Amino acid sequence: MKNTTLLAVAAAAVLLVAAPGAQAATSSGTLTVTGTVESSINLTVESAGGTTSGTGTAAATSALGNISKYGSAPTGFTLARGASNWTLSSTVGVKVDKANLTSTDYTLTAQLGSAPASGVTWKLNGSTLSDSAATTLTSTGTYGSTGSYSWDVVVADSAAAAAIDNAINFTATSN
Amino acid sequence: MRQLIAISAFLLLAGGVSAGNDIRLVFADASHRLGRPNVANLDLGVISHGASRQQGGTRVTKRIRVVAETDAKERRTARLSAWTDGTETRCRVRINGIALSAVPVVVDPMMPVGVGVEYTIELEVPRDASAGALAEAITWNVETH
Repeated sequence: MKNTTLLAVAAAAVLLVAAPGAQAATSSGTLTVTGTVESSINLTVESAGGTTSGTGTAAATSALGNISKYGSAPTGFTLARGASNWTLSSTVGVKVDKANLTSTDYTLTAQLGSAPASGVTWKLNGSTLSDSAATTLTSTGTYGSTGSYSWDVVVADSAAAAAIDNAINFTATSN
Repeated sequence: MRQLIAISAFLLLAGGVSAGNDIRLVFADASHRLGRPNVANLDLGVISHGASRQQGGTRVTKRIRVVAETDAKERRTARLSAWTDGTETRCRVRINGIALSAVPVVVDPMMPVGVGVEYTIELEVPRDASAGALAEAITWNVETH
């Protein structure tokens, strides 16, 4: 009788001991994710005359091929012949996007990457570009929409037959 | 009777030691443990849209490792859920692609206990969100099966 009681109590005790092991263990933790959101703007060349590559990025290329006063205009350009010069005309589309910025508009400038070949003039929006100072194209640019700027390359009849390669560097600054 | 008391006392004592219900969450990134168990911080640094062409906003992802540590040997898997407190309105958080909100969601129904498991945390900041410091608290809850 005594042994039976002992076994019964021991069994009950074992069950009591085993019970906590069957319960689900629960715990909570907190991972705080921190960071600093920085304002930014992004400029892309969306379109240009000539055979272009890299449009939609900040580094586009436009190839005009061989150009001449009495030849045909390159793709996307018109050719106007003057008395002592000739002009290739097209447009350049520039888009500036913003992120995490309260500014409502921007200023866009352009500057040649190197001095133009003698007798060659580069113009945007009617303004002559140089490699020494930036030319303002707009001071009220609208974010998110592509601004179209007239682009002229004026070649004097007296200019030597040679490459006219150059780069137009655009700079957008939020206002 | 003495025997009975001695055996019962031993078993109760043993039960108290081996209950093993303590479980804690340890967070780590690729190189080191973040904070201390159950409380950690993950700094994503500067978040800038920059030249990104993502339309929906700026997305930053980070792989972290979570370990549900317990002393109990019999635990094998657990359910891991998470939620945010909703106070940071400038970002959206996803874990393994699952969007978090103030309502708990299960991010891993069968998380192995005692083993580091990698999860991808994605923070998305809309482009119209204001600049500045942000902090989003993610609460994780682990419950063993």
